[in-house]
Amino acid sequence: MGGWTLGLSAAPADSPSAEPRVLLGHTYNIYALAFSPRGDLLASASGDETLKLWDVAAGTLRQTLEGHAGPVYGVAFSPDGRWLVSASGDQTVRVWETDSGKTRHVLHAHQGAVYSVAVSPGGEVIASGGEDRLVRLWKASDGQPLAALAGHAGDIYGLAFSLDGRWLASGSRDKSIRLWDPATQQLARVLTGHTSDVYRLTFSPDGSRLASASQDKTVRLWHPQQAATVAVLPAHGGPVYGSTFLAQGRLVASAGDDKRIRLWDAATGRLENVWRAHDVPIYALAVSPDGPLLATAGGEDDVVNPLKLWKLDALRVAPLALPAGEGDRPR
Amino acid sequence: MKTMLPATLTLAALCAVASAAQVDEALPRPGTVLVNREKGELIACAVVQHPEDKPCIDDWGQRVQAFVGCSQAAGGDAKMAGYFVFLVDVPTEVIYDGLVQLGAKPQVHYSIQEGQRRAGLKATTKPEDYLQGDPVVLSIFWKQGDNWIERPHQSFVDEQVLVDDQPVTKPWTPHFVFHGSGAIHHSGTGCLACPCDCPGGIIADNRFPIYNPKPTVRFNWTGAPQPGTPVYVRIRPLASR
Repeated sequence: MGGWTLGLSAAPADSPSAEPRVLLGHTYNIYALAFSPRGDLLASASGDETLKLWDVAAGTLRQTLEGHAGPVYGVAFSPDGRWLVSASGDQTVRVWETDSGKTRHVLHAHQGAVYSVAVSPGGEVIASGGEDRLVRLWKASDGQPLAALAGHAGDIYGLAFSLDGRWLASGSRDKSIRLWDPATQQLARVLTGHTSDVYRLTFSPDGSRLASASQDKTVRLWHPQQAATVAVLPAHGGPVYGSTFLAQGRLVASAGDDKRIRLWDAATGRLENVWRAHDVPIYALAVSPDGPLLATAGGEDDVVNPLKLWKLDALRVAPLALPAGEGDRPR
Repeated sequence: MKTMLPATLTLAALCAVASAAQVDEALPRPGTVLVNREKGELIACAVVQHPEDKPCIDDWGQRVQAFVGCSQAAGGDAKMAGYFVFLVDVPTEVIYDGLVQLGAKPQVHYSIQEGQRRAGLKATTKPEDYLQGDPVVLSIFWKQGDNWIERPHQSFVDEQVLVDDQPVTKPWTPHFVFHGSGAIHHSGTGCLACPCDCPGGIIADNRFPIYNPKPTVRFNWTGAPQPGTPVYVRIRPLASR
C-alpha cells in the first residue's frame, strides 16, 4: 500500500464525516468556479446571470454580484484578489471589486457570448474568448482593449495563462488549442489531437504541463514548449468539461457529463480515484491555492444543484482495481 | 400526377435513394437525408442508443434535451448527443435545410441566451415568449424481420401529471412546431424535437412558454427498438402558405 503521499478524502475541513460541504444559492447551472488567491473566497458563475462570492471558511454566501444580462460562463480573480472578472452570454466581460461587489468596468467588443476569461500572472491583462472566435486582450487597469487574436475556427471555451506568464492558451470548438505569446500577442504553437470541442484549460504550477478537457471524453496533458501530447487520459463516460492540477501538479482532477470526479497521476496517467460527486453534469471545478479544497459544481438546467467543497487530505489512496461501476464514493 | 413517380430531392451530392427492390419506399443512405416534396416529408437515418444516467430515460423527470437529435451541429459534435435515444447521423442544419425546402417556416426563434431571458410562465408572458413555427409531425420506423414498423414519436414517451397531488400517467401529447432556433442561432446542441419549449433545438413542444414549465416525461422502452437498431426518422411539416 506504499508509494502514496497524497490523495483525497471526502472529509470537509471541520467534520469527520465523508460528506462534502454543500453550498446552495444559485438557481441555474454553475458554469465556472475560482478561488481567490488567498483561498478565503470562492467565486461561482451561473446561468442565473449572477456570480456569488462564498466565504470558504464559514461556508456561507458573502455576496451576490448582479449586473450581467445573460448566463455567466467564466470567472477569474486578479492575482492580488482585489478584483475579479466574469464572462457572460450578454456579450460582455465585467470587472468587479471584490470587497464592494461593485462593477469596475464593463468590457464591450465581443460579438456573441463570452465563455471564458483569464487574468495574466501580473494582473495587467485580462483575456476573454467566446462565440466570435477571438481571443481579446484588455488592459486590466482601465478596461481598454489591447488586441484581438484571430485564428480559431470555432467558439472559444477555455483560456489559461501559465504562471510564468510565458503562455496564454486558448481552447476551441475547432478541436485545437492555441498557445499565444502574451508579450508579442503572436501565435506560438497549435496543439492538435483532441477529436472534438476543447473546453477548460489549466497549466500546472510550474508551467511544464497543460491539461485540456474535451467533448471527446478525454483529458490531454501537453508539453507546451514541445507542442506535444504527454498523456491522453481516457477520462470519462461523456464529455469532460474541466480539469485542474492538484498537489503541486502531481495529480490531475477531471469532471464532466458523467457526474464523476476522477483523479489521475499526472506523471503516469494512472487513474487513482473516481467517485460520483454530483447528480448532475459537472461543469466546473477549482482547487484552492494551497490545495486543501476542491470545489465542484454543475447543473441540469433548472435542477438546482449544490456547489460542493471537498477536502483534500494527506490520506493514502490504495492502488485501485476499480469495479465496473466506478466508485459511488471517494476512496 | 398520380402516375408520376414521386419527385425526390436530395440534400447535397451524397444523398441517394436506396434500392426500391429491397424496401417499401425510397430511403436515404446513412449520412444523408431524403427530402420528398411530393410527400412533403423528410427522412433521416438514425441509430437507437440508451443514454446512461440521463433524465427521463429510465425514470420520470424533466429535460430540455430532445429524445431525437443529431450527432453533429453548428460545425462540430453535437453537445447533447449523449442524451438522444434516436441519434440522427447528419448535422442539425441539414434537417433544418430540408424542412425549409419543404416549405416549413420558423416564426419565433431565439438564441439560448435570449430564451433564458424569456423563460417561464409569468403574468407578463407574451405571445412572442413562445417559440413558434409551422406544426411538425415526427415518426420513427425500422425493419423488424420482414416487417416495417412505424410509430409516432410521441408514442415512445409517457407523461406524468399530478391530479389531486397524485401522479397520473397519461399519453405524451406534445405540440411540435418548427421554430428553427438551434440552426438559426448555431446552438450546437444537436437537438431536433425538444420535450419542452427550448431554443436549443429546431422543433419544440410549445404547449408552454420557453423552458418552464416542463412536462414530466419518461421514455417508454416497451415496444421500442433495441439500442443499436438502425431506424429512420420521418418528419412531416404542415407548411403554411
